[in-house]
Amino acid sequence: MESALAISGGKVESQSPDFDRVVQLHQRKIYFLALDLTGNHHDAEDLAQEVFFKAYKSLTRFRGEAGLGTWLYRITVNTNIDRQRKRSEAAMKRQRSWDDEDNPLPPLPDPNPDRNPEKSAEAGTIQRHIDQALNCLSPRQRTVFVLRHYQDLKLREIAALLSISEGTVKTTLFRAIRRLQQELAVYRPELGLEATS
Amino acid sequence: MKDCQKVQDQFVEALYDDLPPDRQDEFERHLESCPDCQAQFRSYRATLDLMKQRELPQPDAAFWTDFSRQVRLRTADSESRWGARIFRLRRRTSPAAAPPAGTLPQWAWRAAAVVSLLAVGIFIGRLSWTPADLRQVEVQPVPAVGDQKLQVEQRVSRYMERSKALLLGIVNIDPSDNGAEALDLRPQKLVSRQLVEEAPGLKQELARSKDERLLELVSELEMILLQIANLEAEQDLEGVEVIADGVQRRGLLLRIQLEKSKKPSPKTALQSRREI
Repeated sequence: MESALAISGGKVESQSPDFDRVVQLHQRKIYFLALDLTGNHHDAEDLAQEVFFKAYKSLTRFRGEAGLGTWLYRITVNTNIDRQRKRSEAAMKRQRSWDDEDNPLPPLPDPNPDRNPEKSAEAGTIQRHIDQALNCLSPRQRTVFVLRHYQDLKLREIAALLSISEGTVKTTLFRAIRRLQQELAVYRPELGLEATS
Repeated sequence: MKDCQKVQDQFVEALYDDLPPDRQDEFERHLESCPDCQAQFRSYRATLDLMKQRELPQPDAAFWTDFSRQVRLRTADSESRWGARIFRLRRRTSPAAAPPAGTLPQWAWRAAAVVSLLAVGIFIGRLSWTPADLRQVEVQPVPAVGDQKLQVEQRVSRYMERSKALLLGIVNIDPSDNGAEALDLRPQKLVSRQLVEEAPGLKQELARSKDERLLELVSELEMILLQIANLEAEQDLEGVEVIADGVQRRGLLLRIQLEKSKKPSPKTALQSRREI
């Protein structure tokens, strides 16, 4: 199967003045990646705007070695990482550093402890639980998970994008999946799985 | 136990169907014989299936249009800020660079502003009026390749003329003159907006004809025109300074003049075509 990067990686001349076209071609992909990474519309819109602004400013540095889509993905991921870092520095109380994967936040309390999960499986509730579970991942875990699960990138592509080894990507992804499984344990009976972990 | 660890190390690839066929067979054989690994794997897979149910908001068409516009404004604004910085720096470091105040009386600047506005108006009027015989030439149903090229040249030529008139009006405004504050920039903003709207179509044509130099010039003009169209107030003199600085830095007027001297005017081209 062709990966998302390959699909979006149409090359555009580095000096091309037709930047509007670049925006129109890639705005949806970049917005939805930003939405996956940030989890809300306003942050996603803001991040995507910043990505194109940065791309515009450094368009002359784009050499066309990778596809334009790959380049924009990299800017998106790196800009988001920078933002997360700034936020975590500003909010030290959260104690949630980029590499703090072994000491994740405590599990979320069940939002509806008195209700049977089978009965409370309304679409809105599931969506909220999914978002909460994603929010429990460390920024690195979330980035890797989003790129693999929602953006359909291969492990080697993620490794290249984040400048880390494929082994690290794999380990991080596994930890992310394990964490999500714990967070969504309330749905195990519904999914036909045993209630115990 | 050793096999379990080996299989669990392959969970990630297996969950995303990335295992090569030979390892996939081995993996499945192990799961069939190991209930613990099987339960774990099923649980992870169910988690991922659940995560696929995530729904994302789908912005409407207006959002995407506005998104592109916002990016354009942000990039144009960035250029304006740079232009403003350069202008202020130049003023600070070289007082001689600023035009000497009071070299011309106030009425002269007012007259210049009126003349430039009139010039813009005349151009708009002339361009919206086309002689009947020229119209007949332009409405031929299926133009040949040569005709298409000629039409593009005409459009470019008209575009350059209108832009030139507009830019001349802008660069000749002297913000240091008190009388300039009474200047109403609405006509310039209106014409700029029309030209900005025309630019994408024109650029498409130029890209098709692979005229990169003209394409670049039209793109740069578009950027400046966008700044004019987005002047914050009707008397945004600081914005005018920035735009005038941008026009000079890019040598836009000179480049327009050069293009004009290279190509025949639309009227001449049409006349020569008719003669043929």
